[in-house]
Amino acid sequence: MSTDRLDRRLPEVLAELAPPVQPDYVDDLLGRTARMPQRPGWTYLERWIPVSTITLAQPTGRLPVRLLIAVALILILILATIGLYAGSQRRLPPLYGPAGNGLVVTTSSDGVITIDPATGASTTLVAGEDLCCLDVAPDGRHVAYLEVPVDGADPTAMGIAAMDGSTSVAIPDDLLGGLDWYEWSPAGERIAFASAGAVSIFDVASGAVSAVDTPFRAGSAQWIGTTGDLLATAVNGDTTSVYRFSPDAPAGVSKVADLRYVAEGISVSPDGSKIAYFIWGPEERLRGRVHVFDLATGVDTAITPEDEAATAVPHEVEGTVWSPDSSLIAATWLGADGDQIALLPAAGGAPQFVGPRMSLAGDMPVQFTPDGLSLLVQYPEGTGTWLLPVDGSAGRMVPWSVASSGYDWQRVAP
Amino acid sequence: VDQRALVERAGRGDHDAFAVLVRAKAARLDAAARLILRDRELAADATQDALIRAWRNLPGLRDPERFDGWLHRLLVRACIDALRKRKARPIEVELQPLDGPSIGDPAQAVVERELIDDALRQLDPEWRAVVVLHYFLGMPLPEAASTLGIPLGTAKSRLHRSLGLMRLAIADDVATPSLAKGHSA
Repeated sequence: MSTDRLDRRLPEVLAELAPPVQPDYVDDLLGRTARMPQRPGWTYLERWIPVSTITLAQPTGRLPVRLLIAVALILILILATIGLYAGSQRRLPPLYGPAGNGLVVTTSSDGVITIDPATGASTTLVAGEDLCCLDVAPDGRHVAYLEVPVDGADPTAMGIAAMDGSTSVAIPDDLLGGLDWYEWSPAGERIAFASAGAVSIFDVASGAVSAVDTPFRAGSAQWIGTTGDLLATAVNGDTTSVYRFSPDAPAGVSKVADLRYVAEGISVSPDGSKIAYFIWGPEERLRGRVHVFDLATGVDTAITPEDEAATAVPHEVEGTVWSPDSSLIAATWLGADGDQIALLPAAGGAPQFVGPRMSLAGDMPVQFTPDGLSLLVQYPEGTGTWLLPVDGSAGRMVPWSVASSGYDWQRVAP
Repeated sequence: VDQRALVERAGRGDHDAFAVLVRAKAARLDAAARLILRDRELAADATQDALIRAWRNLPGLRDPERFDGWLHRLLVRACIDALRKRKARPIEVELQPLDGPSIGDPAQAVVERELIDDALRQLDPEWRAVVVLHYFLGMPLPEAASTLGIPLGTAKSRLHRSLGLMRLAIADDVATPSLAKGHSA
């Protein structure tokens, strides 16, 4: 059956497969709902209480200032001693670039678990249900995670756990409504949030939240290398606008680019010099191409081909995952004869394919190992978790698995 | 009475208005759930769950014009929840059409329908949801993406890949004698 014929026939075949017939349970259902109270309108707080009111700090009474100063000094002394001790015990990885491979962090029915990639031994770091969407801080010391009981709904909780299991911190709930994005700063001391269009910064040490006033609705907020600046995106119709600003001086917001159509998978290279993204072109085309945008020069380059003759044998690309050294982008290459992981040189050039080509009926998360020498790929259920060397040599299936809903690999000192 | 007025009345607790809305929507919602889940019983459960959630939460719907999209989103979530709760692999059942439209070559149409049906079964339910929303409920992709709570590019990607997989499956089926095919029950 030709492509066009499938497109044309689908609506009528779907209607034939499931003809709309009034279900016999409608009367029973209406009987149940008639006896069921509705959730009162006043319980939807956001409908009538301004967010600024909800987030107002509660007034406190007078505090013994001298006592607090003395306690603070003692605490600082203790923390400094602990810090010196800890610093002498463990070196941190570089802020960006290749690092050593630490533990793999993922979720299971037990909660957040760590896996020793050498032995496959796992340890529960945070016990709980419905935990997902992990992100290990670039310094390798903490992992953040979400609790999402209902797919597609807002998270009900977010926490940060020390990778050694020693501490955990809860993120304020008001950052979680409409959460679109969160990301650790390179030094692991702050987390940027994009929630319900607003950008906020969470300070891990103090627990303080600072709102960043931006003149656009942000869909993401990513740190640009070690500059301290953030890159945020906002979708306006069929254009994605990219902005750059300092979270500490948001008045200096500058628009970096307007990207055609709806750009997806926008990610800043680890060295902060470029962004990569892919575009699914006009709706009738459904064709993905990866672009690299140089933040210094403003030059935008499509690094995968657009082949007009490829309608019958399409090769589309989706996803952008940077290698630690910012030279390669891993993407899923969608071919007529199956899907495969492709390594795209950020400077352009022929892609290198790794791993098997297969017809995939699910998503295929991929990530570089911190040392940049391999890719960790979670193939759909039943086909396993693989480590694929980027040099193209034979990969191997590892004797452990990660959850497709979230995993990350801890960076450690080389 | 226009739908907006019915939604506003239902949101204020008018159950009669809600009943009119349900009777107008239930058949199509149930059919969409059957296509996504490929299981008649699960689909009935998911549709009822979505409609109960709709009644409970109607007072929180800010814009009555978005009722249809909101209801479809509740339905898709109920379908995914139904699969999660079931944990075990859903039973695949044959969905028999009542009356197919007349087509020039009935035999060829039946073969095509079976090929598409088989191909559709092989998709992940969340991918199938994009196909159903777009091709069955007639939603433009941006609206389907919004309904599913996924970025537009993800919806396009899933639709593109779903169609690609279906074409592959159909090509395989055509190349394979039909006696080799079967349905798990």
